[in-house]
Amino acid sequence: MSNDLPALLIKGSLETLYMVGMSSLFAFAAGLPLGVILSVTAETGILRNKPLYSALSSVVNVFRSVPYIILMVALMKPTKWIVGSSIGINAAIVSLSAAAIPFVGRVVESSLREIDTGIIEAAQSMGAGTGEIIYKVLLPEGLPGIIAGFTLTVINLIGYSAMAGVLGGGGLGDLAVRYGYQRFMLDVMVSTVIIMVLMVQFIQIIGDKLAALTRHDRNG
Amino acid sequence: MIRLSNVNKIYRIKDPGISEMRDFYAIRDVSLDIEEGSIYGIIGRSGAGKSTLIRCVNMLEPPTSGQVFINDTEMTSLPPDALRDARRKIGMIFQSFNLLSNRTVYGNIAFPLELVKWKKTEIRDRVHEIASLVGIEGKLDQYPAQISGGQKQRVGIARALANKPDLLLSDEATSALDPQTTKSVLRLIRDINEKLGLTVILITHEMNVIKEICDSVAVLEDGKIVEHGPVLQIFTNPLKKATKELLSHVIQSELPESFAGLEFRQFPSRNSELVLQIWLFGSIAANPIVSDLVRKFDVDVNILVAHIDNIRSVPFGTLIMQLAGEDKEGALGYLLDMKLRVEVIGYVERPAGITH
Repeated sequence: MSNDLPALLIKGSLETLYMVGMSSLFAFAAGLPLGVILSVTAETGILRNKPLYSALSSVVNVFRSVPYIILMVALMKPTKWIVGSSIGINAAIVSLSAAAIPFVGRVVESSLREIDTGIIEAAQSMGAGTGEIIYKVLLPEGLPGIIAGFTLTVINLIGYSAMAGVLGGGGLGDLAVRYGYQRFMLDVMVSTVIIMVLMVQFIQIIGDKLAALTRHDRNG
Repeated sequence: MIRLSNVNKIYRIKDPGISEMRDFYAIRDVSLDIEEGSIYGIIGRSGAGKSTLIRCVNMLEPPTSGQVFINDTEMTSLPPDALRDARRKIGMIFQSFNLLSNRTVYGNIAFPLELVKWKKTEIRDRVHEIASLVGIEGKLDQYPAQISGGQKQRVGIARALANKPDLLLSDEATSALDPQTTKSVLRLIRDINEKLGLTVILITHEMNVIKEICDSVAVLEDGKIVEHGPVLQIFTNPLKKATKELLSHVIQSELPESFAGLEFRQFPSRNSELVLQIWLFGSIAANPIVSDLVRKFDVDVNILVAHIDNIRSVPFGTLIMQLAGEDKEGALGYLLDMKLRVEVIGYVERPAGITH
C-alpha cells in the first residue's frame, strides 16, 4: 500500500484542488454580486432598500449559521438534482458553494461598507450613476478587502472540503479518513495534513501579496 | 446667476424629550441670489446647516421645499438623468478631499472625464492642462496617500475643474489644512475664479476664509440666514449677534483685562472717561482721526485696542479708545459727523494702572 502513497496523495490533492477551485469560482461569481447588492441596499447604501436588504440578509444568516457538516447533509436532495448524485466530488462542490456564497457576500459587503461615504458622495457630485459608482468607485476601492476576504474563503473551503470527504466527497479529507484513520496509516494522515498546511500557506501568501499590490491607501 | 428661493430642508427626527417624531428644520426658508463670477461665502458655526445648504445646491440633499436655480435650470425639478448631467457641470471640493485612494492623482483628475465619456487622448491632454493650472503636474503618478494635504486639495480642485464647470462648491475645503497651506489653496481658488470667471460658493466656519477671498457673505444660524451682504459691509457693520461672534475671532475687539469688573455707565459723571469703539474702512482709514480729536477738542486719547486689516486691498479696522478731558461730547459729535460707525461702550472711572 505504501508504494501507492504518492499516487494516492496526488489524486487526493488534485481532487481537493478541483473541489476548492470550482466552489471558490462559484462562491466568487455569486458572492460578489450578492455582497454588492447587500452593500448598496443597506441603510447607508446608495440604493437603500430595506425590504430587499432584510430578506437577503436573513437568507445569508440562515446559511451562515448552519454548520457545514449539517448543510452538507441537508443539501443532499437538491444536490442530487443538480449534479445527479448526492456523493462524490461534484456533489461536494454544491454544498461547498452553498456554504461559501453567503460568506463571500458578507465579506464583500463589509469591505464595501468600509469605504468612506465621502468618496461616494464626491462621485455623486460629479454626476456618477449607480452603475458607475459600483464599477468605478466601490469595487476598485474595496478591492484589497475583497481579495483578503476571498483568500479567507478559499482557506475555509480547504477545511470544509476535508469534511466533505467524510461523505464520500473524495480529496485529501477522504484519504485521511479512509486510510489514515480507519486503516491506522499514520503516514497517510501526516502527509495529508502537511499537504493541507502547505496549500493554506501558499494561498495565504498569494492572497496577502495581491491585497498589498492593490492597496494604495497607505503611505509607501 | 444662482438663486435659492425659500429653500427648506426638514428632517423627521425623534424628539428625545417627548419620544415622538417631530420636524427638524436643518434649513429654514433660505433665499439667496448669487451673482455669476463671484465668490459667495456662507459662514456659520458647526450645526448651523452650512453643509446641508451647500448640498441643496447640487441636490446631494434635495430640499424638502423651495427651488434652486442654476442659471436657468431649476435643479429641484430635474429628473435623475438630467440631474446627473447638471452635476457634471458643478465641481465640488471637500474638507476631507474625498479622493479615490486606489487611483493615482492622474486617475482622480480623469474620473469626471471618464464619466462624460471623453476619449483617452483628450483626457490625457486635459489632465495635464488642469494639473499644471493647480500646480501638481509632478505628482500625477502618485497615489493620494503619498502626497500632502495641500496637494490633495489641489488634486480635488483639479478634479472639480476638469470638466469645465460653471460653478464650484467648496465644502470647508481648507478646514483640514494648516494656515500656510490654507492661504495658498485660497489663493488658488481666487486665481481660478479670476482666470476662468468661475462662480464659487463656499461654506466655512472661519471668518478669515471669508475675508481672504469672498465678495459676499451670508451668515447662517440655526438653518436661517440672519445677515448677508458684501464682505466689507458685514465686517465693518455687523448687525447680528451671530455675525459679531464670528467676527470676534478675526477682529480683536475685547477690552483689556484691566477693564474687567469696572462699571460702565450710560451718562458721564465728574471723573469719568468715555470709552468708545469706532470702525474705519476705505479711505477714511487713512484720515488722522486721533490727532484731529486731540487738536480740536483738547481731549486725551488713549488707544486701548487697535486692529487694522485689509479686505481685498480695502483697509478696514477698529479702534477702542478712552477719551479724557473737557470736551468729550464734542469729540463724540465730531466722530459721528464723520459718518464713522461709533459705538459708545460707556463712561468709566479711570481704572487703576492706566495713566495718561
